[in-house]
Amino acid sequence: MSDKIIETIQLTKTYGDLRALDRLDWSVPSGSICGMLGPNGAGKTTTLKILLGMNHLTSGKALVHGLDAATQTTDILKSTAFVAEDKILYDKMSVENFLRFYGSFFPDWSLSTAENFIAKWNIPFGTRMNALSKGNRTKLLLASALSRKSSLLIFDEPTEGLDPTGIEEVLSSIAACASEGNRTILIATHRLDEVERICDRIAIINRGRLQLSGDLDDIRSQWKTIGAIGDVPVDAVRKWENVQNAEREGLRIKLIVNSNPQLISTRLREQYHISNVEIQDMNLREIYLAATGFTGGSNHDRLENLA
Amino acid sequence: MIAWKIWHDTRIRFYASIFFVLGISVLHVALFPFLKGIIKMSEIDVSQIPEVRNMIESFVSYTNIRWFEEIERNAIFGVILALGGVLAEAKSKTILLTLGLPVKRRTWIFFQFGMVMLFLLALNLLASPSLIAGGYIYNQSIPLSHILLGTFMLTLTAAPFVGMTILFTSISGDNLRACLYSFAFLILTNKLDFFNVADPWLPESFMRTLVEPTFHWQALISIVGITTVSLIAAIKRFEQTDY
Repeated sequence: MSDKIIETIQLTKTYGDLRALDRLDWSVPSGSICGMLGPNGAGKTTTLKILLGMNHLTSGKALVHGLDAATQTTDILKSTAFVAEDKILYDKMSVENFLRFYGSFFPDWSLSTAENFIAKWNIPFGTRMNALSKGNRTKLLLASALSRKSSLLIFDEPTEGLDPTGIEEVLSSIAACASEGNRTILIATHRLDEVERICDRIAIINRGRLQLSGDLDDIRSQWKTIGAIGDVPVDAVRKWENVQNAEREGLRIKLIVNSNPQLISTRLREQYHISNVEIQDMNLREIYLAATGFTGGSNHDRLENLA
Repeated sequence: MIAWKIWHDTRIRFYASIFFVLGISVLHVALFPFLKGIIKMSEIDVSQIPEVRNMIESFVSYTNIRWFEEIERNAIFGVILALGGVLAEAKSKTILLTLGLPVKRRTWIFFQFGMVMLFLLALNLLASPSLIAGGYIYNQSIPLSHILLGTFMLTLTAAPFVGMTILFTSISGDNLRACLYSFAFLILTNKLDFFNVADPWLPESFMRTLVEPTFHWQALISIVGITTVSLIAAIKRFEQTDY
């Protein structure tokens, strides 16, 4: 079996004139916890739905466990647990009935594990699901999925509707689940703090295209801001290889680089005779904004935009 | 568990249908003497209208005409029971939860069709004791084998309406519109029957096999054909839809 549990090759999806996914080449290695990031409408949910056979691809290929997502959906779903963005349940069923119904489709599902989650997360067991709060619905779906021993778990906005305590409980459980054997977890979310907390890989998608993908620590070690004061032609520097963006802020020039920061720093020093060049780390928020092409606005505007 | 879910989604309608079917079957038995009396009082020359003559001749012929040959009642229950299901889940947004289960989309449709046909068979079987009791009341007993055969045939005539309802739900994704389209289809077949258009091919004609020596195979072909085509179209539509 391939060590890529998920692989998309030139994956394209169009809805009429709208190109939701544009030749997406991406893979997730087995055993990782991957955070899938991107603005609203970037194509995250569409990608997940194609991987699970809920949407049909227009062209390209999508593979899960090495199986073709277009034709082998049922086999993929047997070994993949999924929690969708809309945490909607069968309202007329009780929690108990739902768990038994859901579990009956999966031989790897454990009722006792589900009951442990239900007790731990205080989900009322005998209640009808239409009486559950939004947070409890989210928890119930996550409990159902986490009670499987599937090798791949896919969560679309897993902490939506949860209070801070609930978020902590859920993230801890997801992290604990990942540590059990060789399980891969893919989380599509807007919550960068959650990704930073539990993911070891990220993929950033924007306008249907993959902007960035890789090991989070590697990305952090490669993505840097370089600040320098001096007469540097911004437009010329912006064209350098690995320079994601270059801006002038008064006398100061600020570069965002996605690889080889030392090399670029040395080039700046040597080519423009600048002595004071600073290399600074970027947090995930800054990397995300740079990768999705967000350049304008103050820090306050950026935070507003993210919110 | 697929069957259990369909049962769980449909059970309230099924219970209500039992109530109505039992009520209608009791009314069917009770109305026989009244109908006979009214026709006699009206001084209609029944010898000129064979259907009316047959209807008041005996409880058996009355049951054949009023219970087994009038398929609309059964078709209405078929439409009501076939509404909803996985095809209508896009509206309630539970569709992604359902499609996340390792079940082929076509399996959901096959199960839904099969379960509705079972519900209809159960409803018709539940009405049988009333017909048997009616036979005893009027000293004109109907053979059990006749009732059972009629019940199976009557259930079969609802299959095209169940299939079309599933197809209309897959097209509209909406119970109300599917219900309206299905009843329009039912009225259309009823009108064709009324005006004797394509009579041998109508599902109604199939029930005449119960009392006539000839087997109405065209009607059977029509039942199987409409059902198969509507289910294939519904499956195709469901399998091609993005959710």
